[in-house]
Amino acid sequence: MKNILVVEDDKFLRDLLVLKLKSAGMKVDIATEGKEALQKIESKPPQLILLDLILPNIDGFEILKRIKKDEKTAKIPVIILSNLGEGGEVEKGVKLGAVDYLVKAHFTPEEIVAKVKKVLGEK
Amino acid sequence: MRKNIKKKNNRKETIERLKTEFVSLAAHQLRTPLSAIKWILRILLDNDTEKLTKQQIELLEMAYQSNERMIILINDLLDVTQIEEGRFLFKKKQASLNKIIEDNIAKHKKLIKSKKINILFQEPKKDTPEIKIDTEKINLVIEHILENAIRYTPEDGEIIVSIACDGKHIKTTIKDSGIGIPKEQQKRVFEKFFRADNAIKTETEGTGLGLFICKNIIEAHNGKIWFKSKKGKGTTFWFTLPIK
Repeated sequence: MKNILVVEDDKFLRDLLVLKLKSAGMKVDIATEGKEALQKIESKPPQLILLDLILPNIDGFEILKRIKKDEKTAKIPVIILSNLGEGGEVEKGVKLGAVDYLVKAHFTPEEIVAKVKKVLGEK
Repeated sequence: MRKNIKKKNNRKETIERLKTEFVSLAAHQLRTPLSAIKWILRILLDNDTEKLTKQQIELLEMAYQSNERMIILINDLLDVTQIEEGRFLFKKKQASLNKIIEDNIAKHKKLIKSKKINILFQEPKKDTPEIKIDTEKINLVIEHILENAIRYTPEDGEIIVSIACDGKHIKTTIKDSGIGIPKEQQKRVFEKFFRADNAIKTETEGTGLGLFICKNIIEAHNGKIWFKSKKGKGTTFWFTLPIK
């Protein structure tokens, strides 16, 4: 079973993502802020990370940088899920190694799950 | 005196920057609960409809559409703010206009089908050259004009999209058989928040910002955008992009 880490500080959005991913047959763990996210990625590397950008403590871009720097975690695919959407941020995310950048308000949960499946399937 | 002018300009820049940051932050903060509502309604509508009455489903659909309107409005407002701050990023790269148009039409297939509109994309006989454009922004232009065409064309209508190349420019044409724009209102069409009376009467969504955004994008590419329309007969929009 695929193990996904959802890094999202908004409770509703987090619960909805977990609900949808679980009903799609995936195992889901959560992190509500930066330090917790890094800790979980380090101790129990997931197969894919859904990463929000605006987070308490350490922001998503910084987390992404550190994941990609560490050999142990660099290969984990990261999909950025954010409500910031200006061109600059998307480009930055892709440059830092995110496999996709989705603006939460523009995608349904089903579409997000489909993207997750696609990325996992490609591996 | 010069020092004062410099001080004034710095202050003006600071205010503009703070305004932009505020708008960006507000947009982000607004999108969070809107995303939650969107996702919740989508889950209810996609999964649990056997447990709901027809009226309940209709109401939920209305809520979903209203929520989508808010999301679109925020997108448009963000674009407009960035345009006015001169911060609308233009990252140009070689791209095929054909493909952008095709993808855009494909994206709206469901809506076009539900309105039984006949859409035709006439590609030129010769291959259209790739041009250096900001693909995201040009995609936005086509999306806005195409969505207007779909929105204001009644059932069983027709939309024709075509491209022509004259060596110097690529001209895109989007022609619909819709409600048209009343003559006396035509000069206001590119204004922010303007929607023609007959458009408003259709009770469809529309922020009135789309064409303002389109004009800015096309002109930033050194292109031109214009239209011809007759109330009740339909509207044709054209825009050119230089091949350089």
